[in-house]
Formats: sequence, structure tokens, C-alpha cells
Amino acid sequence: MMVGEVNRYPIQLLVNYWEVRPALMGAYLDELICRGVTHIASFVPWQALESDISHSLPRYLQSLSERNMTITLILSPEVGIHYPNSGLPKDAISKSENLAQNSDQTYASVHLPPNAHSLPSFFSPEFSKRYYGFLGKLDGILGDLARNQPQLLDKITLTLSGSFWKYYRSPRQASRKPFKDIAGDYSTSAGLAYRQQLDQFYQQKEFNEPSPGSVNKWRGKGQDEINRRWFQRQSEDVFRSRSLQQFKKKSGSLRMQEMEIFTPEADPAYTYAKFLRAVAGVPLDFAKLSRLIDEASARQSVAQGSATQAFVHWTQMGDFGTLGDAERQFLFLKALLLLGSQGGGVLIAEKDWFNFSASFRARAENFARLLSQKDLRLKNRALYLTSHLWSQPGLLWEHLLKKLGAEARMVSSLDLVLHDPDANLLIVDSQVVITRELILKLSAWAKSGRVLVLPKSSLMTEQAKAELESISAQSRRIEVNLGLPYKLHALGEGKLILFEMPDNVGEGQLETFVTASLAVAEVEIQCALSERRAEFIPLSRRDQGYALFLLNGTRQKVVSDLIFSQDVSVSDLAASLTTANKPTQALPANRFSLEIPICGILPLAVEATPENIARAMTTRATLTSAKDAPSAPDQPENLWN
Amino acid sequence: MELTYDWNSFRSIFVPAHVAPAKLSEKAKAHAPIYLVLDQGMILHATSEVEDVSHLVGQTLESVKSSLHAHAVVQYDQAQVDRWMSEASALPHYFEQTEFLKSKAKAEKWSGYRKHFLLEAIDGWWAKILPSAYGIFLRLESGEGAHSFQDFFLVVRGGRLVSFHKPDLSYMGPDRCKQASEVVKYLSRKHLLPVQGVLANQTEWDAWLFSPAPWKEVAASLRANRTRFVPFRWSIATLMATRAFFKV
Repeated sequence: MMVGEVNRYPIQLLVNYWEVRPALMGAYLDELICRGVTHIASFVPWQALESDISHSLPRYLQSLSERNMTITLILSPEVGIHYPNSGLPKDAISKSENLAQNSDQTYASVHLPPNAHSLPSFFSPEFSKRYYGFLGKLDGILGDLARNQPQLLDKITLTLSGSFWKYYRSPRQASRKPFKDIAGDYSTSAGLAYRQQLDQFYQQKEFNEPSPGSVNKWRGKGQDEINRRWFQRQSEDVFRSRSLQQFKKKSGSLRMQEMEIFTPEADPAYTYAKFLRAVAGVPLDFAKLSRLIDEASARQSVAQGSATQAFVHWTQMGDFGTLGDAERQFLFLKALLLLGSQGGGVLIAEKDWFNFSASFRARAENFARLLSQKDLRLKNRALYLTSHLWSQPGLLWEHLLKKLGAEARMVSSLDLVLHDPDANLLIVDSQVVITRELILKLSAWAKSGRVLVLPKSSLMTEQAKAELESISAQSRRIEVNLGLPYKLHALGEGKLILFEMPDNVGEGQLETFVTASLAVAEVEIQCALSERRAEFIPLSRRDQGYALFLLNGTRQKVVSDLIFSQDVSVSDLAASLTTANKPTQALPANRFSLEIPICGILPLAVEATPENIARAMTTRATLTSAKDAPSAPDQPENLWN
Repeated sequence: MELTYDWNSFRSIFVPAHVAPAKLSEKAKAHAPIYLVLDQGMILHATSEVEDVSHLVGQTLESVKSSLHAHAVVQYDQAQVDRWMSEASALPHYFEQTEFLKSKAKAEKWSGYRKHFLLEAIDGWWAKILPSAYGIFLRLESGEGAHSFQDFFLVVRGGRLVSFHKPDLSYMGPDRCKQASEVVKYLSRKHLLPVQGVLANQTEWDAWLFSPAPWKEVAASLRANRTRFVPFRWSIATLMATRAFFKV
């Protein structure tokens, strides 16, 4: 399977092959087959491979092949693996010069069993050399298998991931808000690479205009934050690309895919929660884990120009397994819906999966089937282009997220913007360096009926400015001051909003501006909840209408009104999917009252009335927040939270 | 391949399950401590046993003090926590790292949490009496007639737990590995250590985790032959009986 193809397995059970004795492997796999498992996923711990004198990996693959089982073999180092140092060789991370540092200049660490350890720096020449050596060895093993026993590898999908890059963040900053700081490696090796890259990048002609001295504006200390962002993003891209190249030497014929694996319990935002749990035994921070799933699902990473398959990884050794049934089911299902509907899913230890009740497993499998067949899909209604996915975004992102919830997506790659089939609106972060090429590509994208929101930024090259002026001159414009001062230009069938960000901008202004941008792009907010503690995930159905999952991630029952912008029919999703005849639906209305149980997820089928389907095509969103308009609670936009 | 630190098995045997908030009395709930991690007075992380206090994050301790009422506030400085966590990373495994953090934080006052009695003994008084290196083979039996069991093997050197894992007994054959005495001999030869086998009932073992005087209950179970030592050593039995007598 290559990047971008449909993910057939939104739920993948993790098997730690190195823990199963070779003599018992067959029986173990047979038992899995008896329980209906035909596809599994396995990490390959680096140290396990280096010390694998008994060839347990090839033997494991042979056992799988004999049973016709398929496997996702995750080759990149990841956190949360049941192996000392997450599988990293101890000597590779024992030297301080090989370790990554976060923006607080402390070692980036992961605090998960079987031992907390510091994360290595991919910029360290020694570590980097060893890492690519490991990949080479792995390539050799797989290449030999492909040559000698090709049938063994028919069912294998080799998987590379984003590895540690997203964990290079300060726990101090992340505790206040995940992804609050400028993420990245700040070690000495990374610093050297940064200076080198900076010099190379700004040698481009575009940054040396109008005079050669202009380059100093871009390279100066004042631009450090900006430059760090693109440097980290570019370094991650190079890492992914180089890792893939390693496997083109001998095992290039095998199926490859790129994943983004997010382990919430290893996130720096969760570090102090783990500390307090360790020293005082307090319950784990369930709400934070839930928020971290939101954060992970809002970001779409890229590899080789295509979207990666994003997976949440629930480790067997973390606190996830110690949660109550309802909480575990909630976190699992939430992650499955949010990421499975975008082509990713959930990685979970086989034992943890079978600890769920049979009825829950059946329910989750049903959802997974719908997600894998794309019967349910999360549409990106608006995109936010940032310079670095794991660093703090600009001010407009928060408001876009508040308005659109799960349907807003943050990307750091222009390729993802250009290939997105759904989004009608793109907001460009004011920290993005805007070049002529970017203007040309984005304006071409917008011309086909979309809306491009661009900052009048100081980070615009002279060529980009000239290009933008030329575009502006060719079109009619309206000057507006709605939240922020902006110019609205016609751009083919689409529109360009060119805004200015004042120095002391208020939250209300930003919110008004985002609302106005959504209205211009005709991105309608279809529904809202009256209760702030509840949340929802809207998924488009292949046939018609959409599925709405109402979530209560609290330990109290929540009663909420579900308010739509137009009259709709609401019914139980399961009944709607399983019965040949349409289930009995409530009479069309625009307001429904529902009780969501503790840690509950209510799946609903929503269908617009025929007359509203036509009307919805032309309705525009003119929305204000509940905070600003408490006197008019009947409108969904006023209750949006 | 044997993992020398099998955290999953270790946790299932030695880490007490969390006491759910519902089991706390109303009085205990009202006085339950709130734990904070502070960065120059700013709350970075807040947690409590009984209620969601995440709304405190981002505020200063000074500004929220009055709203905390009867709750005891246990606060930690972020820079110090970072230092402790960094120091803990130098230790080999999670169990030791956690113990290190606890020793630094001195926050074991929480009523629902305490170190497992066997680990406490290994770490403390046994170190003074028992050999410098030894192994403990633990077999927890469940079901009638002890038909199913889970095995665990611990290696202690110099009073420190250096490895813990499920032993690989595949070389012994299915019949021999059921006999605890044979397993003890096998492990002793394999690891070149004196090994003490302990056979206990899983249900009893789980109950001891929460007992105020676990050694007393171990001694009682030993007398009733529900718990067995393989081989039976008078010195060990006497040691436990003494411990039980003093109600520790």
C-alpha cells in the first residue's frame, strides 16, 4: 500500500513478537486467528533487531505467512514500545551530545515504562549514522527475504513514521497548552545544522531582492522563531525521505506506507500528570488524554507529498490500561472516529483490545468497517497552513477550530492544500514565509471557487509582493473592517481576502474575522450543542446526510440541546445503517434535547429535509459566538463552544 | 527472548490497583489534597483525587487559593520536578525511577497508595539478612486445584531488584514446569543463584496488597498451607512470622 491509499485496517492490534517464545509463536497466532484477527501490527525495536541472534523477526514473518495473516511492520523508532529505552540501543542515547533538547534547553524525554529515557537527536552525526545503519541492516534482512522467500513478504506492509519529532517540545509550555512552544531540537548539533540550512535557504535569489543586503532581514536574530519553524519542518521532511530511500536499496519492491503515530501518554503535555501519578498515585488525567486526541487529529502531517495515515497509539504499559472500562472505551472510540475517518486509526495492544467487552468490540469493528470503506468520512471544510505542524500556530487557528471543530485541519504542506478535495477555505498563518511560487499556486487553487485568506505579512518576498499586487490590480476589491481590516478580491470563481493583523488585536476581533471568512467561503456551521462539556464529530455519509457522534468526555451525565441551522430528521445511526427500511425518525425540527451518559458516545444519523437540501446550497454562515450573543440561544452559532 | 524488565507483568503483580474516588468517604473527599506543579507561581498542572481541577491551569496559585477551601495543597516547583525527572532517567527501570521520584517528592501520604510489601522487604530489612544475590520465583495460582497459574521471577542483587520477568520454562517440558520444586532448581542452575519459590493464591495475593498488616496474613496463609515455600526454609518462615508478630 502506498501513501494515500485507503486504510483497510483502522483498528490495528499490536503484537510484540520479541516477547513471544519462538516455540509458542504458532499457537499464539492460531489463537488470534480463532478470535477473528487476520491483520496485526508490530514495531521492530532497534535493539531487538541488533541482538536478534535467533532470527526471531524472519521466523515471526514466516509464522504469519504460513497462516496467511497480514502485518503492518513499523520500522521507525517510536515511543511506548515494551522494550528498554523504547527499543533504542542504550549506548546510542547514553552520550549527552546524542540527545535532543527542547526549547527550554532541557533534554527531550519520554516518561513511559519500562523506563523513562531521553530522546536522541537526529542531528547528532553519531546517532544519525547509527540510525541509518540500522535501517540499512533492516533493509538487508528484508531484501534477503524478498529474494529467497518472496512469498513471506506478500502480506507485509513496511511502515515508516514521523518518529520522535513531535515530542521535541517543552513540558513546561505544553502543560499550559499542547503545542504551545516552538517545537524542535535545540541541541548543539541541531544548532549547527540550523545555521547551515539557513545560509543555504536564503541564498535563493528571491530573498536577495531588491538588494543583496536584503537577505539579512530574513536571516537576522529577529527572525529566529520563524526560521526555526521551517527548519524543523524541512528537517523532518528530509528525515522521512532519507528513511524511505534506505528501503529502496534492497527491499524496494515491498509495499511501503507512511504513518504518523501519536502516543498521547508520551506527549510532553502529559509529563507532569505522569509525575503526580507516580509520586502521589492520583488518577490519571483522562480529560487531558482526550484533549490530546483532539490536538493530534487536528493536524495532518505529510510524507513524500501525500497525507500520512495518522494513528493514535494506546500503549500497553501506560496508564490507559488502568482506566475504567467506560473511559477506555471513550478514548478508544474517539480516536477511532477522529483518525479513522481521515484514513488513519488506532494502534492498540492485543491484550488491551480483548479486555474490552465483546459487545464494545463488535460496535468498534462495525465503525471501523464503515470508516475503511469510506462510508463515513471526515471532511476538511477549512484548512490552516502553518509553517510547522508541531509548533504553536497563529492566533486565527484557535478561532477556526472553535468554529469548525473536527472539520478544521492544520497542515504544513502546500501539497496537502492543493490535493484536498473538500476544503473551501484556506487561512495562511502569519508566520509562513510567503514566496512568489506560493502566491501563484495558492491563487490558482482559489480561482476554482475557493477562498484564500492571506496575511499582509512582513514575511513576504519582494517577488511575492509584486505578484500579489498584480493579482489585486486585475480584480475588483471591497475594503472591509469586520474584526480585522481586510480587502476582499475576486479571484476567478474564488476570492482572496488580504488581511492586516494589528499589533494589539482582541479575541473578539479575531473571532469576527474568522466568522466573516467562513461566511465568504460559504462554510456553513450545520449544528451546535447548548452544553459546553459535550462535543461532536460530524462525519459525511457516502449515501446521504451525515453521521453525528455526540461525545461526553466527563464523569457526569450531560443533557444538551442539539441545534441545527435548518430543519433536519434525526435517528439512531445503527438503525439507519442496518435496516433495509428507513427507521422511524423524529419529525423534522431544528432543535433536539439529548442526554449523553458518562463517557458516552451517541451515534446519530442526520438528514436534511428535501427543501433544506436545496436551501443549504445557498445559505451563508453569519455567525457570532455564544459569548457575544447570549440573548439569542436558539441559533446554533450562538451556542457554539 | 526474555525481557529483563517485564513491566506489564510487574505491574499486574506489584502495583496496587487504584482506589476509585467513590470509595473515599465524604470527609476524605472534602479534604482530599490538590496536587499542583507550579512555574513561578503559575499553575502548570493541577490534579485531585476527587474532582476535575484542570480549570486551575494557567492561573496563579495566589489567585485561586481562596477557592481551594479545605483541600490541602501539595505543590511542586516545575524546575525542581524537571531536575528530578532528569535524574530519574539515569536509573535503569520505571519502578526504580518512580521510587526515586517518590523519595524526592515525599508525597506518599496519600492514603490509597503504598509500596508493595514484598518490594519494601526486598529493599529494606531483607537486605540485611538475606544473601547479597538471590532469586524469588513467584507462582500465583488461580482456580480450583491450581490448574492455572502465572509465574514471575525476580532477581535481587545487593538489596536491589535488578530484573523481573516471566521465566522461560519452555526447555523444561510441560509436565516438569508444573512442579514448582523443579522450576526452582532449574532457575537456580540457570541464573547461578539461590532461588526461593513462593506459591500463593492469586485472590489472596491481590487482597494482601491492600491489607494494613500483609505479613500477618501471609503468615496465616502459610500456616493454613494455602501459601507454600519451595523449598521450605525455616529461616524464611521464622523471618516472616517475626514480621507478622510485630504487625508490620
